Amino acid sequence: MMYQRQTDIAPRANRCPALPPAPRRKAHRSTRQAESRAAWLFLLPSLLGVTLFLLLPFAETLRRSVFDTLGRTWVGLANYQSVWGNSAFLLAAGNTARFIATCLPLLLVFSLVLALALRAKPLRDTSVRGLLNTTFLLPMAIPIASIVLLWQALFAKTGLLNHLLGVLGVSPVDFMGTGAAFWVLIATYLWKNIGYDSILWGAGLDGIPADLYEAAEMDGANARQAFFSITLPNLLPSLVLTAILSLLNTFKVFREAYLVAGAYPHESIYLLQHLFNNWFLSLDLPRLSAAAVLVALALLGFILILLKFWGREEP
Amino acid sequence: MNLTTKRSAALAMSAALLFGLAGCSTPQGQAPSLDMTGTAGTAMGRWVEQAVDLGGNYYFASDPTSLSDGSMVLYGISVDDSGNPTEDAHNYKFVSTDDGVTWTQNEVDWAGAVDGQVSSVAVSPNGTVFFDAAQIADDGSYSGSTYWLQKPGEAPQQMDLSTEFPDIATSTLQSKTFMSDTLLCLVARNDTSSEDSCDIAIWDLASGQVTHATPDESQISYYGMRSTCAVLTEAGEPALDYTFYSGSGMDVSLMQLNLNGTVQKLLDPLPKGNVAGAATSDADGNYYYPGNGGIYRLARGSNLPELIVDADGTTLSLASPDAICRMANGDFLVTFYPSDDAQQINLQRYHYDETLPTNPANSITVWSLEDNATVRAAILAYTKANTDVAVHFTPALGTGDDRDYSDEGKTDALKQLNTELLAGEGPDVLILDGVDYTPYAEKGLLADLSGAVDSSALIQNIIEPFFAADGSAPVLPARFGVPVLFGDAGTVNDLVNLDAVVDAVQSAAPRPDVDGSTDGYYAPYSEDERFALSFQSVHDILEFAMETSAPALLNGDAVDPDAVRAVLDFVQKVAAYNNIADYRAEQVTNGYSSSWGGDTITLLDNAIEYTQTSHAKYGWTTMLTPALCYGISRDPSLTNRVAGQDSPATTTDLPMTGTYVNSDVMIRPGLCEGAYLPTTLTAVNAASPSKEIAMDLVSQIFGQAVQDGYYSDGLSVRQQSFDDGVTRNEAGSQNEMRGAYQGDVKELVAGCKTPIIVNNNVQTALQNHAEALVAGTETLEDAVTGVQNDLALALAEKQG
Repeated sequence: MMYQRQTDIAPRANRCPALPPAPRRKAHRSTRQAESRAAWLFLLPSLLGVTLFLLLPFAETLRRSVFDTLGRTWVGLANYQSVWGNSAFLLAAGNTARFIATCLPLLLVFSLVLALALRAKPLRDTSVRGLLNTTFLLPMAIPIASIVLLWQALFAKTGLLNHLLGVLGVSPVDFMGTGAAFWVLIATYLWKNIGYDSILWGAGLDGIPADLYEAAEMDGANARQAFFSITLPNLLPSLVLTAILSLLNTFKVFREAYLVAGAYPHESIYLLQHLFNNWFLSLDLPRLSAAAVLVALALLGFILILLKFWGREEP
Repeated sequence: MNLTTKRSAALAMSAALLFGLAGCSTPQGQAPSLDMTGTAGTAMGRWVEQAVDLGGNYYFASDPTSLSDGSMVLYGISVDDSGNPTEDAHNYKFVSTDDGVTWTQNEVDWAGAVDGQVSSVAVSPNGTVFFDAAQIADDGSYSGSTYWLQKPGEAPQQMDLSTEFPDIATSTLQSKTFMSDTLLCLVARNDTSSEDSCDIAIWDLASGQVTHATPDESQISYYGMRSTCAVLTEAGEPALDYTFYSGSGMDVSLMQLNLNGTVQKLLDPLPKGNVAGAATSDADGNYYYPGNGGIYRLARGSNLPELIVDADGTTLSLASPDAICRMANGDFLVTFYPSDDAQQINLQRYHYDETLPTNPANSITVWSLEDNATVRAAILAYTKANTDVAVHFTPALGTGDDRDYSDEGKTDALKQLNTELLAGEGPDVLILDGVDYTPYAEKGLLADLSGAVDSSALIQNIIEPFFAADGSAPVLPARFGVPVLFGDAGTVNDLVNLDAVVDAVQSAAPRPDVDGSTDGYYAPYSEDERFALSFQSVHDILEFAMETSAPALLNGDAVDPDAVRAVLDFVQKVAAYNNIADYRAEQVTNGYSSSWGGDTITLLDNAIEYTQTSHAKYGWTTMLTPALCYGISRDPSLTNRVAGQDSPATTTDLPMTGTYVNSDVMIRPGLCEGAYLPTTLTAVNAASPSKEIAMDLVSQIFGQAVQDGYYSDGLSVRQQSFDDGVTRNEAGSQNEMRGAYQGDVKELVAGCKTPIIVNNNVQTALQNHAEALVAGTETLEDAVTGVQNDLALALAEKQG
């Protein structure tokens, strides 16, 4: 049905007014060269910035990962071997992977549901929708120090949540000193990012032509069919972008974990950034560099896979 | 817009951007200059400190004062080497007519005309003086003061202040300042008022009229004014700017007292002013004060002080200013309180020398987490001897009211240091107190100090653990403390380990939870009521053990569970016996500083409850000077006499009876034998481009001149200086009616074998589980396992 509709549209495009006469070949080449120059000119600041602040430091990290602390003596892959054999690294990498694997799907689903809910009939075209949009974005605007205070007030052994549990007759929970800390971190991540992701999903949803839904409705498709046949396929480009941004945001949750629980939190929320931070403080730069390279490669691989499977649908 | 226009616009914008960026940078090493008289491009002029030698030892009875005729005047009393007035104490008037460079000495003729000992003098711009004369009884006790006014060329006339200050007979004036030639402002404590306050009276000496002011407690404290300074208001009227300690902490407020007796707040708090015990002004009403970091100028009406004289490399960085005076040429004269290093008040002149380049040819940077008096003394000595070198020392965590106490602040400071060091840059000299220095040494970031420091002159058993097998020494301690336990002679010898300490605690009475701010703190105890040791919290008990046991808790890269169990068991038993779990959460800490003819010692409750109240059978603290051994003997009858007083707030004013008990001091027992606490851990950045200068400074830190001084931060690591310190303090103590120390300080220090550096992670883990153990939420085995678990990650990170 959908493709039929697109076929219907295509001939209409051919009915546009006659095009102006084609420019001469030389002028065409000159324009392309000028456009190419302009493009490079616009790209140049960004390219310089990326090279200076990302690529060169990464190259230095790569170099440091095969040298000693002072960067003078070549040690080959010894740092990588040491990292692989380090139980703290394995724990941190495992926790980080577990955190990403848990919170990323949850965030994508919840934020999509939120975006759809805000566009559902009861809220659509009302001022409440704008208000809710802003409200869900507020956690991103709250300073980190305030969030940490909130954490401490809520999740401390004598915090509000345990007080509430006590009132309900439930035994208090040591949220930050047990495995519950992991779920506290997940909840914080979701709370903070759900509004932002719903905006991203919203942009994708708003980009789907309304006439697709009208046509589907005319053809008798129900809401579920419209969602799976129109909404989801058209959201794939947004999914890639939202997933990558959300993935990168998972690494920012370290700030909260560090400020609340310090350099050595409960082992369930001991993340790679904790390890990197501690290795830097103990001047273990070679192993830090090797671990950073490994993490960068893993992330790159993950993003490439995302792009390979979902990015190809991008028009 | 055609292509040419676009390109032109783009070019113009690019040029503007580049121009703007270029404007953001300043040529390195150049600072704003007041004068450019040197070679092309060299900024000229900088402040120089010069010590003023008056040709003897004096106690300054007046602030240095600038007179209307441009001369400077200063009144002094001759004192001996200990800072006490000489037998035939003479009053001198020192006058300088060349802005404080040279001084003439004149004996004060009017001093002999008054009955009593002139102790404090205020000087007006025309030379009129107001002074008090202390009445000393035959037994040496103080019996009050008389007050006198002496106009130039006239005989002194006694002033009766009892009408204006009814309590003056039993108290002394808080401050006395001339606001002009004829206006004298006096401040006295008001003891009869319902509120603790001070009365202020402004005397018009020409008309005899007196204007009173009684500011409330938001305008002045019971302790009066911290500093006073006559100023001219914008309307040209004389006024008095003063500071006082306001609110909590060490903040001071800047206030202004007007001629009509009204008081207004100018600044609260006075920025960088918490050490501002002195102030001066100029004819334009600008206010100058020495504060943290140097001498500041506060322009009239402004609330933003400007640093005029940087404290780095001057006495301002080390000692507390007593008085400051701005001279006619804009230079400053500053007097400093005596310190343990210098018994006499010293006088320094700060002169702006336009012939010197603003920035010396060489400069090095010293890094430290916290301020360090020994390092400041070394910098002062070094820069005096090397005027072509600037030494910059700004503690990474800040000082005074800017001090950052957070863990994050420390982490940020270390990250910044590591970033610089790993990039081959960073500070030249490192003071690694509070830092785990091992990685810095192991990774080759620190230079070998063995060539710069004459190690044979240092106390061998203290420095030996810092030398590697190849003879190199990347870090050396310039000071150290000894964790000690003391008690009546013959009673401490059996306390050889933590178990023996537990036995001693359990065989005496338990310590009650006494409020240190009440009179009950000084109530006499019977022998049966005396407890063994003073601990106010779990933290105290843990500190007692950790300072002698910390290294034993880690066995290589693993926690030693037996050692952890031993420490926690000690904490649990002592806490349980004293019922510390039920102590009030808020405890008052009492402090007591005294000097028994030697270095000043400061004692806290853990020592005071033995030395002052005799409630404890033993005391414990960290020995930072040999004077401790000679100053901790106790007077058992003291509490009886305190209890007999109407208002026994302190024990310091009570006469001594000479009934002191002889004392013994030993290294505090723990899991490590011969524990000591190394401090001022000095190192040099191996990548420093000024390594030679850095090594010279390090050599100064360990040199005789600096090591001979005592800055309340530890014992000297230089053998000769340490021995001299022992002799000096032993001799000083013999002048006092104190009990005798039965041991040998040198032998005590010779027993130091194990340097104790407490790892923060270990301390935190033990503290958390010791609290839980005492609260009963964990068993001993739970606590041991908890400590192991808490440290597992930190230890795992270190695994290869």
